[in-house]
Amino acid sequence: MKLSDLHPEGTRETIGTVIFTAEDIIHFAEKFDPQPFHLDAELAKQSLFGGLCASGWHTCAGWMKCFVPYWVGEMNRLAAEGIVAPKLGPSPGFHDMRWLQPVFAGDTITYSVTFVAAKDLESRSGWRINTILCEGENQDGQPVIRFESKVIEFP
Amino acid sequence: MLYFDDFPAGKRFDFKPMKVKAEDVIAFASEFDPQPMHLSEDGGKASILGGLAASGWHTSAMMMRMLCDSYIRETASEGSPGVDSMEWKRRCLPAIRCPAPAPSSRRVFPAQGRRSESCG
Repeated sequence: MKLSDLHPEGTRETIGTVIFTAEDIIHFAEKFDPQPFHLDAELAKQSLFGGLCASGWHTCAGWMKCFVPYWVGEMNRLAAEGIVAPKLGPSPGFHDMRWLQPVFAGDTITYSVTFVAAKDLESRSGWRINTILCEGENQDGQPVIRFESKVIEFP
Repeated sequence: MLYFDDFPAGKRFDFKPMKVKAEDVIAFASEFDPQPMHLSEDGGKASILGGLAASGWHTSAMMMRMLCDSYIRETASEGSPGVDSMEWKRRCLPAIRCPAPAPSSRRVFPAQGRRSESCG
């Protein structure tokens, strides 16, 4: 089964939620993005954001954190139905990443994936590159992140 | 303090190399991207990547750290609205998997020390 068969174009699937605690935001930022508005609630109040908020890369990683268990679940669900799941490989990258709203400490982000398109690789028979739309919104329904990712699919 | 006008198009900053450790690759993947090729050497060997490799999100986050260590914290920057395009061009393997450099008459450090320094 191809990914394009599993998810018709434009079908949005919810893949999970992540609660961004202040502790997690600071822990990530200390390692990867040590800017004041990701590290310190008081300093963040004086910033453009107005409060402690997650690194955009943390928000991205949250999407992946949801997608992996979601996809394992999909593979198991299909296997139980006797269907061979699409064989997905690594991603060569993404484009049009937009951090649309800050993710503040205490926010709950719900992530989703939408199949956009598939393109056959001319150089490798049976291989495809899928484009998927990845999104996240906060507990108030406001979009906080969107990007389009490429995913390799093997025959 | 650096402002927008201090960054003409084409201005280049070279970041300091960062050695990628296997335990860091596994720790990041365990929390955010628990796929077999990011969690163990065997899982990596069974994949197209050929060995334990960092999650692309980890590589991205490491680049953000390099940006911070290089110049971002010296600027008036108040965050970014996004990234137009990101390409993960090659697999990122932990330093321990990098081959030792070939013996050279110009080498001035002991081989053991050069092993990790060559990995960037």
